Amino acid sequence: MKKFIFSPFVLVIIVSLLIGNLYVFVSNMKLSEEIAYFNDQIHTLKIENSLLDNKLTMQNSLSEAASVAAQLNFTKKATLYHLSDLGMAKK
Amino acid sequence: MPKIRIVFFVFCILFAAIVVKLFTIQILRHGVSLSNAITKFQRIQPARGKILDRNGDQLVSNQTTYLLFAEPKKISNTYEVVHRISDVLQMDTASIEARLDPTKDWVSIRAGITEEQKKRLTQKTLEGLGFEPRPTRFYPEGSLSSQLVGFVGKNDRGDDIGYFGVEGFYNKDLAGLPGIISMAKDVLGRPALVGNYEKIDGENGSDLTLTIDKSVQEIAKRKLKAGIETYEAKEGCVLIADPQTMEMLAITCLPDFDPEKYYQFDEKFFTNQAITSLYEPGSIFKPLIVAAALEEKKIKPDTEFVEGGPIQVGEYQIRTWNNKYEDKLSVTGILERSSNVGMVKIGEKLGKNNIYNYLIKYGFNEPTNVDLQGEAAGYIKPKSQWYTIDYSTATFGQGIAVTPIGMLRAFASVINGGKLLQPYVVREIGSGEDKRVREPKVIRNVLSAHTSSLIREMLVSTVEHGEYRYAAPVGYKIGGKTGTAQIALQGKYDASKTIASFIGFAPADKPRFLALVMIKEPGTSIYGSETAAPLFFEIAKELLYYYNISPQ
Repeated sequence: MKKFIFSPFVLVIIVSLLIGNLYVFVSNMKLSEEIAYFNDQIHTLKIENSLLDNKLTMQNSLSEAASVAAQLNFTKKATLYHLSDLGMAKK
Repeated sequence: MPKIRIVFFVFCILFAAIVVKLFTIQILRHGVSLSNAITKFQRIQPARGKILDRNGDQLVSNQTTYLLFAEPKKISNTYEVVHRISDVLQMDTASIEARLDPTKDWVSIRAGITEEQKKRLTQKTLEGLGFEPRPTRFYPEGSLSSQLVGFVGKNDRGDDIGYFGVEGFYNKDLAGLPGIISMAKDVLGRPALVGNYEKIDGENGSDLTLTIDKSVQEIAKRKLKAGIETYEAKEGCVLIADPQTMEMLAITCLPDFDPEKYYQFDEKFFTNQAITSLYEPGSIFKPLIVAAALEEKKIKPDTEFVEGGPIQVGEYQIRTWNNKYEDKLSVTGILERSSNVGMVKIGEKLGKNNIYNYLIKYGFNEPTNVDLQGEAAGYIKPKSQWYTIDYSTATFGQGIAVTPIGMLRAFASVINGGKLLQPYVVREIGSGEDKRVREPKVIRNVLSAHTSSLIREMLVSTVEHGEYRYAAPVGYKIGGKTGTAQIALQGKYDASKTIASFIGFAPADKPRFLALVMIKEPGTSIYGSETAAPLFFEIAKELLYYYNISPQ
């Protein structure tokens, strides 16, 4: 029994298992950190994506168009003109 | 030998300690949150569905704002923190200082912080401040359709819930379903890749595509706002629909509210008067009675009536709006002159039973079931409670209570070939393969196509010979009817307070749009012909241009 417990072969196996366990444990921790990091990155990218989407929507919005038109003084110059009386053209 | 035994006993003790600990966790304290400290359940918040107009432009989408919180015990330089927050958020320093109670672990400072404000606050690292992201709604068109769309608030559990309008009616579709992740975490909160990992995918909310056209909505709201100012009115509504399908193209009422800051407004601004308010429609109701009489073959378009003077109904005397009377009037003439006396005579020919039955057929005793939260049903009192005077006044739209959308729906049936359709605001739910598309729904046929055609011609003549004809765009066949309904207050009518309205459609041969314009208590004139009618034509001009409808 004594010889078996302290045989080199068994010692090698025990030490290998210990080292292996330690390696797996440390890898787990590193992987967990990476997962946490990428989760944060995904969350940040989603928020950025949403911001960009909203900026794009604003560019297409009527309120933006009205604002730009007002700046260019476009609204006064481009009102609808109805050809109600074509008297001259008829002549 | 003894060394081996010592090692053996050490291992036995360690092994026994593990067994005891496991026994404690799994047997003695199995129901306690100890397991929760190891296994974390994380809710996956679904994204709320967007609301798009009929062309796919966003009316409502999502954004992330932040709740700024502080951990007062971790703040070392209170002065710097307070002044930094005050500079960026324009908050009073005293109120910020009051919140930073050093005895508390966590306090909220302000919600609704934008990304830009967050960046400015975090330009310099400040200990003790943090940001909690919160999804909120984003309105690129501002309050363009606030009452139509509604807003998102919280219920008593703190969950997001839609209130009023589309957000309220379609809350379940928009909200989606949350998901859950259950996994083990270490003491630092990082996922531990051992033990159980379970994920139930959530479902994002469905996007809604409305029948509303944001350009038409903008035209309606802009013109209504200008009209209320011009005519010094208290309130107003404009409803525009496609009469062939009852797809609502625009619904706007003023005053309304800013959906991003709904909490700053009184609740009365949240309700959409277009679907909640009951009012006496007045003369815009007359074409419905004329159509019923034509359908029942009690009259023809050229049937003549003697007007003569006021008509006595029991103890009541019914007059025309201007107390002027013609000897003879055709049915079309009765509509052109909006003669109450003429309408009473048409009503007498139609008969009491038919008058009542057609009110039911037009759907005035029931809600339209439009897909907006908060609709009121019209009210028609039971037949047993009707007196002779009620049948007379009903012919010119007084003594009955309808909602604006109920009135629009009934009028649409008069001009679209006789079909009473269900109005709706949402055309599509979802996207891709799971998309559900809504089709127009015919509730019942009220009139024949022939009667509908006759009425359209009469209503074109009404516009062409009406006092307000000068406001109509030249070259187009537009049909319509004015209304000036007195408002009942404490059982009596106040002649100075009216709801001025106009309901019209164009082009008359195959109407592309039907619009109801209502102005409550206009100050410049009580008459619909001088307020609501010109406003309708202003809107109609822009719609004819927008829809590229050529003059006929």
